[in-house]
Amino acid sequence: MPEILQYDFMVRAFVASAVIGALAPALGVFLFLRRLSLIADTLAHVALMGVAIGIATRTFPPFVALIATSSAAAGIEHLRSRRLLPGDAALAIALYTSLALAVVIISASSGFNRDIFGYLFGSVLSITTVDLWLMFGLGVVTVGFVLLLFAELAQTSLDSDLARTSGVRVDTVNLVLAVLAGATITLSMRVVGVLLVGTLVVIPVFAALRVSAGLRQTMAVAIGLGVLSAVVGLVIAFYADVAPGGAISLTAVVIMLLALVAGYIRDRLIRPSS
Amino acid sequence: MERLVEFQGCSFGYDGHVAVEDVTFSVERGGFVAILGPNGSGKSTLLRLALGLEKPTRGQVRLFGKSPDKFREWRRVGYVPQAVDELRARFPATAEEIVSQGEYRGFDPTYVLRWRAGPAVAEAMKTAGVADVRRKRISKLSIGQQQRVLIARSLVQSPELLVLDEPVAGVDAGGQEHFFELLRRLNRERGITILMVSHDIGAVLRDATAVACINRRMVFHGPSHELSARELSLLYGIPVDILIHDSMHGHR
Repeated sequence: MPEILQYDFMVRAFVASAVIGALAPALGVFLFLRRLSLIADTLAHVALMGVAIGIATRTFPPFVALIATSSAAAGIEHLRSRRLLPGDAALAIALYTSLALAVVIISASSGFNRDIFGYLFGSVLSITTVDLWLMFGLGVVTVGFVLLLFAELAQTSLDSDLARTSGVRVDTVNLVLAVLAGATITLSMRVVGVLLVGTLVVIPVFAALRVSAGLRQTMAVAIGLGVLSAVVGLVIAFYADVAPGGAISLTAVVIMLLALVAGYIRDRLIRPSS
Repeated sequence: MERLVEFQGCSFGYDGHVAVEDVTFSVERGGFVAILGPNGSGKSTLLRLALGLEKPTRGQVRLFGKSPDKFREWRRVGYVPQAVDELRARFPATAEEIVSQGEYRGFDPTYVLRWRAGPAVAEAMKTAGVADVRRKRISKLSIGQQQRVLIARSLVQSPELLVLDEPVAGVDAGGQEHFFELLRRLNRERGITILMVSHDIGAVLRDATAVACINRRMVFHGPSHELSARELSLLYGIPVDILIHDSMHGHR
């Protein structure tokens, strides 16, 4: 057995990274196509506020963060769908409000800067069995949602009016998508950290869009690239002794660049007429 | 004659702005009804009201005899919006995937496993003249082809009513003629009722059986051959002459 797998904490880290590497782009495809990529960043900051509240009140921080992100995601979706606020304004207001609250709570309390540091930059090596069970639970719900409601997600991503006139319950689909995105981002924080949480939601999707034809294929490729980025990034972090969150994110960026080059070569040299 | 769409004293407004005021007219089965009007006159709003995408602030709308927000038989209606922004951007679906969305009949857990489209999809693509681009990414097609893909999408379930919102905006002249020819065939050969917003007065006078001229309020409603230069001048606020010359319809 390779040295890297001889440690229980590394095995847990690999499993957690692979799960999040798959879930983040699976939802990310539909967020990206709705031009809601920045919701990942917003919800990550909401999650940070939840973590700060959790640590300050001595409540299980991921649980508080989960409630905070789910509520914020539902609120943002409500404001956006009812046209009470433009989508980007709702995201910006939620981001800055939650970040300001997090800063106030952190500065008013003392003694948990180290804990917050772990959430900001990720702490995949300290993943616990409870974290893994939470991720598995979320994974089952998310995969079920995406597979069972693929038709509805595809239609609403293309055009919500077209979807409505096809009989799709657009508001319900959007609400569940937003809440699941909030939950996924909360758990992704443990792997890559608040500051880089959008990486796995956006970058594998962008790379997949460049090399795939068809929505199903794009989702499958994005999930594959997400898992690849997470696993390879973790291996690099282990042997190079660098922060796993940063290594995973940079690996995703390198894979995206390779995908861009591959797409360019395919379009210009192999199939110039397509 | 059965009325598929009815507007009864319909008004709609938002933020103090009146978009549509006291509009009454209906679309009968088998008809080809065009809505004409200048920009911002409420034409597209009427279609959105008909489809239940907006609710009238006054009056009533009926779709197949029901209030649109209670209407559930969406397979009877095909909708082709103005060019969809997402189609022009990097939307990854192939033309065939977009058309196969037309097969949607409600929650279907096996949909994601269907990598091949059914025969109804192939037939609809053939009818709309986009069978040869079925494997191409929708974003790589011209706007005219994209609109035909959306027509094919709406044809999959053999709709009784086709609602189109400025379907040829941004399409070149040749593409527009092919598009209107397709609509003529669907209306005359398949009996599909058509309700369409258009800026193309020539095509409307040539193909539509009835015209509703809207400038927030109804300016004219009646058979297209009764639409005169006087009503068009009134509608657009500028002097308008009508000259139609084609081999099918003679001179006017």
